[in-house]
Amino acid sequence: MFPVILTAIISLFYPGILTSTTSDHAIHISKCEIQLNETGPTLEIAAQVYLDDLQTVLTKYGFPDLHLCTDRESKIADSVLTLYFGKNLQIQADSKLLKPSFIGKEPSDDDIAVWCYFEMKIPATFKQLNVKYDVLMELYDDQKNIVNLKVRDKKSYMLLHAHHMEESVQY
Amino acid sequence: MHSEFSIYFQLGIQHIADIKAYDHILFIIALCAIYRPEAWRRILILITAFTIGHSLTLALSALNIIHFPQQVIEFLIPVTILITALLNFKADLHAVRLPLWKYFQPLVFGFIHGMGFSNYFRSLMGKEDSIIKPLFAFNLGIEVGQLGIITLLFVIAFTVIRIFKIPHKIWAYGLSGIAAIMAIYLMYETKFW
Repeated sequence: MFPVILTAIISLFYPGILTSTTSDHAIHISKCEIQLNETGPTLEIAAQVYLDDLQTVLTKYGFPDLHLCTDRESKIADSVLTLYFGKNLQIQADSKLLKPSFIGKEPSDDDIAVWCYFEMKIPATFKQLNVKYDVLMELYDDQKNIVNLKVRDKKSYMLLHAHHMEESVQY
Repeated sequence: MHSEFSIYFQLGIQHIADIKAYDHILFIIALCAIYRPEAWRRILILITAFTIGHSLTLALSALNIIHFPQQVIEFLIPVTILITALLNFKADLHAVRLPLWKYFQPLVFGFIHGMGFSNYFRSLMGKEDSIIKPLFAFNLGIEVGQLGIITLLFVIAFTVIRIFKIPHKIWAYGLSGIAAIMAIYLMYETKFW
């Protein structure tokens, strides 16, 4: 009887403990890899997000089911992704906002996520890059986005979340 | 600005201490529930066995040397909690020496938890050149998080038993009972058939 009462007391204070689900993948992580290609020069970007979360957030914005990475994929899929990433992945070189162009996408090895590839033209000289990468943060308050940058022999890492959506690196 | 190390170290701590994914915390609670704060040496050995177990399978599955279906692992984790909690009711609370299998139990259960950690760890990995450094940092983060949980558990145990004079037996069985009930709930949630 004692354990039952105690559990009841705990769940009074923290009801989430009994309802929080561990059965979904429940991993709220997205990754973004950014690399400077000196010829161009362009930033080459690879961003990975879970397919189910991505569709959920797009539905929230009023887009139809895109059937991403399937045979039935919608014709507007690439432009929707460009729109979404244009809003949620913003990179500034010395306070100049860079414009993304969509290159392509491919499913992850386990088919539950998608890698999206973009390119951004960047001025030949810049002293600072500011990266704001807040994909899926409008969906989950515990979403964490990992960014890693390879620019001119310098590797940098960022761990972004709802209270810290952007970071700058000096060069 | 962070280094690669500090990012994965932080993610390791946050992963084990995440209240929303409380299965690992629950296992540690079940493992330590029946020991008095004075028995910290014994707990240290048990936790070390658990650590060796989960570090080994985390590394092996992160490096793709072993592979188990994730759904099965997610179900087996609460099974390890339930067994550990139920065994607490049969344990001799005044034992001077623990039988040898008691030390193997967290080692073997650690194998299962490590494969659970590796699922999360793999989701953190991108197209990195090498996963060795992030893996090391992540595992170290898990160990530090685990130490934090045990320390907190000890402070609470000490307060409950010594200051509020709750009998050790009630604390031990109460905690084990809660862990068992929650483990059954988790098993129901993660059943894969």
